[in-house]
Amino acid sequence: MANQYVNKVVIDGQTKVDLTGDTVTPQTLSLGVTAHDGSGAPITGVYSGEPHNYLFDGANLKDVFGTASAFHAAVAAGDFSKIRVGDYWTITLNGSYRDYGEGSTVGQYTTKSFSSATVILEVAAINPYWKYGDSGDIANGTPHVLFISRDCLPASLKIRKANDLWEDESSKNPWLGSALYKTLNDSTNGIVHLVSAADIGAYIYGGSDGNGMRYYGEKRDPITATTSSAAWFSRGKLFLPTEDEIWGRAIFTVKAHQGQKGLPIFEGTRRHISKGLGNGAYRASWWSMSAYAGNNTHFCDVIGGGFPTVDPAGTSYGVPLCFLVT
Amino acid sequence: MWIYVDNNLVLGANPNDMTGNTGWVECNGEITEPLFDEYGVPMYAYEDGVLRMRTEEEREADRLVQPTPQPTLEQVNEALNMLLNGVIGDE
Repeated sequence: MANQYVNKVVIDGQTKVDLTGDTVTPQTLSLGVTAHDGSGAPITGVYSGEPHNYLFDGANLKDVFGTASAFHAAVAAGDFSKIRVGDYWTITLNGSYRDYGEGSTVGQYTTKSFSSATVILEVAAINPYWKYGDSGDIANGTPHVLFISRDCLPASLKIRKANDLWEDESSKNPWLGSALYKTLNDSTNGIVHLVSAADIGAYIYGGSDGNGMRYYGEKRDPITATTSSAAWFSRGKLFLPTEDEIWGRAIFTVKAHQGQKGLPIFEGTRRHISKGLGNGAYRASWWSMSAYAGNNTHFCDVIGGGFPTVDPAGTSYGVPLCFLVT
Repeated sequence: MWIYVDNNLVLGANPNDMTGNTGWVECNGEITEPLFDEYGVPMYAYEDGVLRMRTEEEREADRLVQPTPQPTLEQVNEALNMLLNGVIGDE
């Protein structure tokens, strides 16, 4: 069938109009703008650009990729053409875990449970730690996606059993020495073993030593208020954003030893900062992994009203699920 | 309405069914205010099966005086550098 549109006009042997080589399409033309494509057909643009995440509801990555393995293959190949900040992957947690923030002495715990607990994991950043780590880690440019859950896990958890009680004094880092770190990362009884059972859980980044990405964190002796120095640590397969990753700058914590980058999911809006205790819940306070600078009892958190503050580490607050897929 | 209760304090509220998740109880009460006040202190209590707003006195008792941090080594170094630079700059 002949082309019903005119895409080339030749008068007296001279080409006056030639659209045949044009590549414009509705998908590449701005929303509402009209033109003619290479066939001469009138088109109206539908491209609305990349919306900021204060407007963007995100796409369900399961609809886009179908399976976790297909999603992982795209990430591993560095193909982020179908992944945007704010897109999401939903998992359901079931089973028991040990909460090491309960009890009064090191090693004590209370067994708790999740049942059909929905967790919507949002893409918080793409390649946020590109060449951030030291050798042998994502320093080599391994493509990665950072997930942080839309709301917190449906449990209120303490950083420490008591405000100044480290669960692991050998760690030399307030986060790694905390009971919450162990509650999340105990490989057999922690929350990580429940997350690992989910489809996407098979692709949680374990890092060079199996304990997550390398990060440049605060080094201090337990029960000291003063930062001694900084060092490379493994952050944990499951971790929390640092204070400066949430707010774009250090406020109460030690500025030199944090994530060094505000995460795009949090930039310009508190839509993704205010989180509930469990999916769809009322907003609640939640922990970051940053200790309060020059203080041995407090950690930085997001208060329920959605602003930065510090609170005693023995306080029960929400905890978002946060991990890397590489 | 489901609420998350820890030591009689309400730390979370969720309209979804939270059956089987530790710490959650279903209640008939209504949450009309934010769960936490401007100091991060829980606004509601749940005792003997009753949800209630905590009194100002109860919340006042929970407000913690925020500690004043000691200066970090970084801050000390920064202050010393500024002092030294000032001295050198005068010469």
